[in-house]
Formats: sequence, structure tokens, C-alpha cells
Amino acid sequence: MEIINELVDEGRCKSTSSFVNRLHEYYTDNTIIPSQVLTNQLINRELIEEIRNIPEDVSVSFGKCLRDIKCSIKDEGGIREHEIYLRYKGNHKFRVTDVKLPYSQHQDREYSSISEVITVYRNYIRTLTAYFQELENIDKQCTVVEPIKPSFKDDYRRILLDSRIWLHIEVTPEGLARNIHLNRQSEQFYDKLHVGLLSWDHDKNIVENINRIFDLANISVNQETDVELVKEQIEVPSCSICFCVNLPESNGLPQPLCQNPKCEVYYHKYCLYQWLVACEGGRPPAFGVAYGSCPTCLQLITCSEQ
Amino acid sequence: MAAMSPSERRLQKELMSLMKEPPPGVTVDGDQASQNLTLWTVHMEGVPGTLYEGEKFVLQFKFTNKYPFDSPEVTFIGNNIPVHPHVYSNGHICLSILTDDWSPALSVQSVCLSIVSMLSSCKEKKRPPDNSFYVKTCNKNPKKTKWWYHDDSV
Repeated sequence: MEIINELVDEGRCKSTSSFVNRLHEYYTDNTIIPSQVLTNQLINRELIEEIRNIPEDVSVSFGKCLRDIKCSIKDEGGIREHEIYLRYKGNHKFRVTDVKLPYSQHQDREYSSISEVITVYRNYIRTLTAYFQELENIDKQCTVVEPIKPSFKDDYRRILLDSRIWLHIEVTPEGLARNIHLNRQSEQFYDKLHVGLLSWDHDKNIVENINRIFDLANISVNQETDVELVKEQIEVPSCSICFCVNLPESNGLPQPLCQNPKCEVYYHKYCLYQWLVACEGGRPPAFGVAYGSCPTCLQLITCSEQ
Repeated sequence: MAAMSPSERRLQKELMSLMKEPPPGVTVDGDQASQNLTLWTVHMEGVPGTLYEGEKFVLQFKFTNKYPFDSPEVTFIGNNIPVHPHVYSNGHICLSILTDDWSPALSVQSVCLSIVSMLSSCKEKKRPPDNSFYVKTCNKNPKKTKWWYHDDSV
């Protein structure tokens, strides 16, 4: 550790690569340092070599410790930048700890080098072009209520149709829409959706299809207006259990979870789930879906853990 | 300031709205409640045109840190306990929403309104039939009582 401090404090390290070079020099010049110390504690020659071999168009930064590495990869044409968080486990082992992309099995395996991770993810990103485009179109042209901060990691969007009806839509890695449904019963929108799904035009993108089905031209957000501003103007009612809109304990806004069309209240999934489970004596429900009666209208209500 | 717990956050919100827009005849002691969020004193006036016109009552609310998942403990305190078939002379109230029928969607305000309407719909001022026995034997906490709800009309 002292050696690292000394290297950094000397002020000669203006960039990561110069630091790594310095470290490498130090390491090769100083045979006094027992290599185990470095292997066990921070980094070793192997990792230094790995970092030196990262292609130039990939930018690298480090986390709290030098074993936590972040690589930013640009996709073809350099339109988007994707961040991959890695952890060096020692002995030619790298693990992906986080990535702002939809879940894939690439996340679960072990890699023998950083370059291997980059190659695998470059290829993966290449297959996701349609996915990125569809999500970008939705985020730009529709009013997305959830996720609160949409990213490519979330493969779903909840789009506001009117103040009480949201359209849930998931996007496959191939850029196709799936599992399209409304957040609550609404005859008017349900009929439109039913007819619309049967005549879905696969040559057009998701937003065009949604616009056609629901005739969203009136309420969809113009590309020039600020989506955030519009989002703020739509007042999301507060949760009838915690009386708040934003909850530090969980993500997500209050939703009209009760299926009774006359029941006008919104709940956080988190709050309603806690209450329904408490009503059952605190036992977690089977299959993660709690049911009981709506705290407001007493009709049957179900809620899944988020 | 330390981060507020979910129950404190909700009580703070309720206190603000109850002070800003109190229901008619109901006032909360805001100073006391903001000193100690888990113990509120609410003053209540008998509604004009009912048997309790002109009378003044004091309600005490006690909250646990599980509120609103746990119902508040609500009793009449002070020297004027309303004479009502569902109110015992020690201040305990027999009202289903305070125990079995409690729901987290209820609030201090809705409890106050329920009590106001319970008093207002009273046709004859009298104590519950089992008053003297209950007052001698009951737990201090009315929530420990297994209530037998006499009727749904009042």
C-alpha cells in the first residue's frame, strides 16, 4: 500500500496508463518486493499486463480498489457507450459485476482475460442494436413512468396512456415487443389493445405501433419538449399507505393496483405487499404473490413482491 | 437530522395536513405532537344539533413504530369522557376500525371523523351495559381487549 501511495504522491501519474506503467517499472526494477504481497493484496503483474493490453478505443477506470475495473465500450458507429464493471479475482479470473445491458448468461461466467470480456460484450452489443433503438424511441417519444430512470439494463417500459392507465411493454434483445398489457382494467383501452395486437405491424417499430393502436398523437411527448418537464407536470398521486410518492426503501412510484374500477387509490407495491403479508401473520406468500383485501375498498387485491 | 422512519414520515405528513385543514370541530395539539410524534392529543367538540352539542372532549392517540401497519391506540382522556353506549367511563372506545377492521389506508383524520359520527348518531346518552365490570377488569391498553361489537348501527 505504501508503495502505491508513493507512486501516486510523486505526482508523475497523470493518467491511468502512466500509473500502470510506473507501477510496472517499479515492479520489474524492485526485486525486493515479494511478489506474494502484491498478489494477495492489490494487483500483480498479470493484471498490469491485462490492463496494458486493453484496446485503445476502450476507456478504463478503477473503482475503490484496483481490482474493480470499469470498461466503457463504444458500439459500432460510436453512438452509444456501454459500461461494463469487472472484478479481478486473481489467477486469470475475471467476473462481470454489473453491466447496463439486459441480463444475459455472459454475466454469470468467468473470463480468463479482460480482452475476452471485451470481445464477448462487443459481439453481444452488436446483436442488441435493434433493442437499443426501440428503447431509445420509446424513451424519446412516449411518457415513460417506470423505470424512473430508464436505462438499457431495464428491458421494460411503462408508458402513460392516461392519468390512470399505463401500458407495460417488454422489449426482447432482438428489439421485438412482448408481454404487452395494461396495468389495470379499462374497457376502452383493453379493446383497443386487443384489436391492435392482432394487427401489429412487424415492419414498423414499437412506438409507431403503439401510436397507431392508442392514437397517442395527442398525449405523446414531442421530441423537442423536455420529457422530464412533462413527467413533473403529471402528478402521480401519493401512496395511500405511506402517504408519500417517493419511497427511500424501494424504487417505483405508487400505482393504481386495485382492480376495482371504482377504487381510485394508488399504492406502492412495496407498501401493499408489506400490509398483505402482515395480514397473513407475516408469512411470505406462495409464489411471491400476496393477496387479501384492498385497504381502501376491501375488494380482493393481489400484489407481487417487487 | 437522522433519517426518518416510515412511520415518522407518515405521521409528520398527517400532522401537517391535520393542522392545515382540520375537519370541523377537531383540533390537534401541534406543538405537543411535533415534540413527540408517537403521542398526540386531539381536541374534539360535540357537533351542534346532536346530544353532545357544546361539550368538549380530549382524545389521545398513541402510535407504535409499526404504524400504519399497526393501528393507533385511541382513548378519551381528561375529565369529560362522553357518555355513549360504545365509550367506557375509563375512556376506552369500542370501535371496530381501531382493532379488527383497521387498515393502513385509514388515518388520524378518518379515525376522528368516525368517532365524531359515532357520537353524532347517538340517540340516548348512556354507558355500555357492561361498563363497571369492564372498567374493573380491562387492560390499560384498549387494543388488548377482545371487543364484542354490540351493533353496526351506531
